[in-house]
Amino acid sequence: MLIALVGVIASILLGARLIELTVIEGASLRSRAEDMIRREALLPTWRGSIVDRSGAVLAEDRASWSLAIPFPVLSGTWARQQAIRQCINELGAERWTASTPEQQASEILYRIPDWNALVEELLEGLAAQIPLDRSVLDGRVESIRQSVSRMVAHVHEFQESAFEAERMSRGLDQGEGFRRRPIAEQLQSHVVATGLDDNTSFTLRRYAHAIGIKAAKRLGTRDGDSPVLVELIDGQRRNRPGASALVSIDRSGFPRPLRSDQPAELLLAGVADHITGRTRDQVLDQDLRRRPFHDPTSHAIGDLGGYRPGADMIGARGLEAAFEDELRGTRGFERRNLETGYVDIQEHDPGNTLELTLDIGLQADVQALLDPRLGLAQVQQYHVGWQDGSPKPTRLPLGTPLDGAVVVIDVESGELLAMVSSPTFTEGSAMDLGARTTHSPFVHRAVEAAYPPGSIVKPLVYASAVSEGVIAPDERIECTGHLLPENPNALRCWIYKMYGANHESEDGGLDAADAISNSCNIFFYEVGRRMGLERLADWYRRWGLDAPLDVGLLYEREVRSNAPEKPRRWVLRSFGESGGQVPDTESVPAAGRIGESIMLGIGQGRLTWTPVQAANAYATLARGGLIRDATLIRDPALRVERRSGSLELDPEACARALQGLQAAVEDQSGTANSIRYPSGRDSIFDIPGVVVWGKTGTATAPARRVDVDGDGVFSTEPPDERISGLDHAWFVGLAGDDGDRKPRYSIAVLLEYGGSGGRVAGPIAAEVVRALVRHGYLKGEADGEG
Amino acid sequence: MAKAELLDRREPFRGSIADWRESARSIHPRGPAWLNAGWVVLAAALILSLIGVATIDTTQPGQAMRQAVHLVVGVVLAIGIAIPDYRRLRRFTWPVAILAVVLLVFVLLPFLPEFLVRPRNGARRWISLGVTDVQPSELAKIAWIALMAEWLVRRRTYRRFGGFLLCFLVTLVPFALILKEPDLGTALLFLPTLLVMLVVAGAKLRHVLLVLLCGVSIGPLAYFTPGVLKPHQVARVDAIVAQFQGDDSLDRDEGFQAARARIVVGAGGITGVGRDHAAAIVEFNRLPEEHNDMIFAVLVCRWGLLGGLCLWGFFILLGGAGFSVAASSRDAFGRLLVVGIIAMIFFQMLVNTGMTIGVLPITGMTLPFVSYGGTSLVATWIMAGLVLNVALRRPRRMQREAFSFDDKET
Repeated sequence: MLIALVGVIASILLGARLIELTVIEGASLRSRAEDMIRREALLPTWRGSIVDRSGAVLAEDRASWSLAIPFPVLSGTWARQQAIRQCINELGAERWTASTPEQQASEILYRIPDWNALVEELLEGLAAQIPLDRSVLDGRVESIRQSVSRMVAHVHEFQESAFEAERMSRGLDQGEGFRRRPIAEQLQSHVVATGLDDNTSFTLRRYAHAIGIKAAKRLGTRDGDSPVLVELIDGQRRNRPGASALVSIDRSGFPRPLRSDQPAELLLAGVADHITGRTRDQVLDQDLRRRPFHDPTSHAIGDLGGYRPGADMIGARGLEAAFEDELRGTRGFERRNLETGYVDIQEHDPGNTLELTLDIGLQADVQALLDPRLGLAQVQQYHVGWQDGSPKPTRLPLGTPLDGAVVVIDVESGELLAMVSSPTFTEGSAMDLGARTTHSPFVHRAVEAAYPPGSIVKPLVYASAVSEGVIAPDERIECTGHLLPENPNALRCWIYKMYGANHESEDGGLDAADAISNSCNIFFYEVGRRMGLERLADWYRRWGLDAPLDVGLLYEREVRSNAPEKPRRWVLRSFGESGGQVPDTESVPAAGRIGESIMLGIGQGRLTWTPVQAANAYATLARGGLIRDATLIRDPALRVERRSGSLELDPEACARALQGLQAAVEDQSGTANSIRYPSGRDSIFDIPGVVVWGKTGTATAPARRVDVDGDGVFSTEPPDERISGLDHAWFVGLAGDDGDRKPRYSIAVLLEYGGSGGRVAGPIAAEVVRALVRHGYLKGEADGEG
Repeated sequence: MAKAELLDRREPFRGSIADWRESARSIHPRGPAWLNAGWVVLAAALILSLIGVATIDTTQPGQAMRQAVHLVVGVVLAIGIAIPDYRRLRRFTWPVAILAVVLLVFVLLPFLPEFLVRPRNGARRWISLGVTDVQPSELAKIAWIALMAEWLVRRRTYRRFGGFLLCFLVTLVPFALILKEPDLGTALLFLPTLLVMLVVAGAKLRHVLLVLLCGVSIGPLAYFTPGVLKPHQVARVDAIVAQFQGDDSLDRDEGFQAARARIVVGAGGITGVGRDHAAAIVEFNRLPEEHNDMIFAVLVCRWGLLGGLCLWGFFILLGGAGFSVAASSRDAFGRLLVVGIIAMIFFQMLVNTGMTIGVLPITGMTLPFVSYGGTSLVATWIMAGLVLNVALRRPRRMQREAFSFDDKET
């Protein structure tokens, strides 16, 4: 009876459990079981190319393989584990567990060298077949080891302090200590070589398999149990064929001290790198948040184009970042039923090609002009001039390299033909730390950095004022040297400040064209005063200030906030372009509004813009107010929604403003006309067959900080310096053919802390115009001249 | 009737020597009792073995063929062992028991060459004989059951507590040797089997309950005292606890085999998935020991819940028929032998299927009749043959009902 009872209870127990497994959990367990029959694999895709307006490739991608080795193999943990397994197999589990730790250690130590030799053989063979120099491979392995061990120390430290805090808060006893579990990086594979082709990948896989079988044999296990010693993961390689260029620059039109009959040959690196940007191989939290590969809740594959933790290629800067989703493409997916052999393939979808408005040849030439090696973007004596035949002192030492930016826009279409920021990434990477801090190559000065505009806004202010009706197109205002009759020390015209004189004029004052060509401050103080702060700020906004133009480089990302709270919040930030600044009427006290508006009249005060905004505003002026904002992207479908419409400028005002800009270049008294040397004067724009309209600006700049000791930190203590009283040098202008005298290209040149707009930025602008002629954008008469 | 009258009525013995022999034969049974439950045991065993061959064929057709050969050998040996009266075989109990112990000691000898005793997964359980491997612990099981039956028949001391414990001391010999191989699962089978034999032999119930209580309390004690169980054994217990708590974290290492088995079992559903699909599921789920210890998982995967219940049904049939053989045998030794054999087979089945469906911790143990394995199958068939042997023998006349104790006697 007793026995029967026990039997019945046992049977019911087992039966119930079997029913639970097969009936209740049956469906889910079967799907889990059948998942194992299917093999799912991702098929690599490739990133879209970036090409210039003529189809020249700026960045392209090849699908390729990356070789990764599990960290235990690299760290020696694997060899040790294998040695232990071998000990257990050879001595028997019983004897092994019975032996003392010292005996165990000596048995393990005795076997480890063989396993290390096997790892050595593996690395040697892989290096030979990649092929890769063994020392290079060892270097990579060593750096992986170091970075992982740093990470381990960091993570464990963090976890242990969290563990202690938890224990304190719960009031637990001291029983269980903190257990240092291996972190993910200690278990997963790490990439040691990238860009491998299919054949190499196959050879490496086979080689590693052979080594794995050797290991399995040594342990006496079946072949199928051979360990995984390498992983070949689909990777990508980004090539930038347009990034280096050999350019030849004709120096016959250079300022006198730099002029030469011999063209300068320059090997450039990093051409258009600021625009195409950079990719990184590491996936960050923000990427996983933005576009995860696995659905965060169900962990099923959600987005074949999404990101997985680990190595992946992601746009990090520039267009690569801004057009990440367009360029990225989606992976393919293969589901193979191993039982039936049925294969279900979802093809990969490569990223789209991004066509730019840039002309890479022009871009390279312009970059060469900003290269300090050529001399134009270096502090030169002609920048400050000579006093009575002897050189004037320069604020910065002669030969100091000047950073800057140049923007060239096609007026008709708003397309950007060239947009250069100096220094570039590639140059920057060769710089020492101090120089990098002072001349950060990581700022795209044409779109990301906003500068006080200075006098270059004057034609815009004039056209605005006429259109607003505060002055008549032909109104004349007398230059009195200083705006306030009783105070000659404030609100002066530049000519009064430098020479104690005022702009001479007949018929009761300067007209707009004269005021622009001579850059008279008094005229524009008056215009600014009449406009008032609110209207003037509003007009500046209409010209495209105060918000990024979005030429294609603007993008938003969620990043961790810098706020001290923990955990840090995610905040949406925009990157890639800056919008500059226009004063908000509300933020200016009522008493200061008139003063602020007077300052805004000459482009001073709380006003900044980027070089691309400057060139864009001039292009708008040249189109008579028609808004067509600058862009890098050729395909209109890919551009974001943009401003449209017209500023409805007074046509006569536009004509007079252009007249003033032309006079600034062509009249001897114009600010952009010529440079004086002890031996005479030269026109800046001496380019036959081309008309140039231009305006110079010499804008008061914030103090320049110099990291003299090169420690990468700006300090207020010596030897680091703050040099104040410097000006940014601007030249913004338009260029067209002599034949139809129609402005066709808008050019902005900025040199940080360059000084005089006419003498520093002017010659570079002239060379940009020559480059436009050379590349066929302007007809010119260079050939006819012989 | 008066005594004298009875004596008068006594008929004088007039018969020949032949007649006297005739009358003596009527006291002793005449020939085997053909109609008995032993055939049901044999039939159930045959069906279970055929199920086993079919299940092995799911994933290992070649092994299934070899198993069929083992089955033939097993059936022949079973019939062979059923032919001589077990009461005559009884005299070999002690020699066989000593041989079993010798063999158990033999596999543990450390200096043996690998071709003779080759450790598998660190365990020394097999002796290689060229043609096939022999597992001494299978022989030890039979020998020990017979020995205990002999012991309990010869001595009545087990009805006192000291004698009761003495039985456990005797059991300790094969138990310790098999534990040393190591084969904890097989070793542990001896204890419940002994208890059942003792109960049937009429041991005091309070002694049995006391031992059960001790056993139940030793389990946790062994688990929590460090050093008693090996790390992998603790891990297996941990794994099963974690699994019931819905924690999958151990499924990759400690609970790997159990988790795989659970998935394969569940995949069978109610009616199973059929041969080919089951083979694929078993292969790609990397179920270890799929034709051996884990065969029940394959069976349920192929034939579903119904297949599993069917298998249990045949085991219950086998058990029931076995106990009915025991009940109808008046010979104490025969009864104990049958009870021991049936209990051993049944417990082994419970432990094996229990671990496969995740009720018990994983331990290396075959499913009797069904799992692949020559020694195991042949040994189990010899057990079945012994049951038939007992079933075939008529009781001697005037034989007292076995173990009908009058408790005043002690």
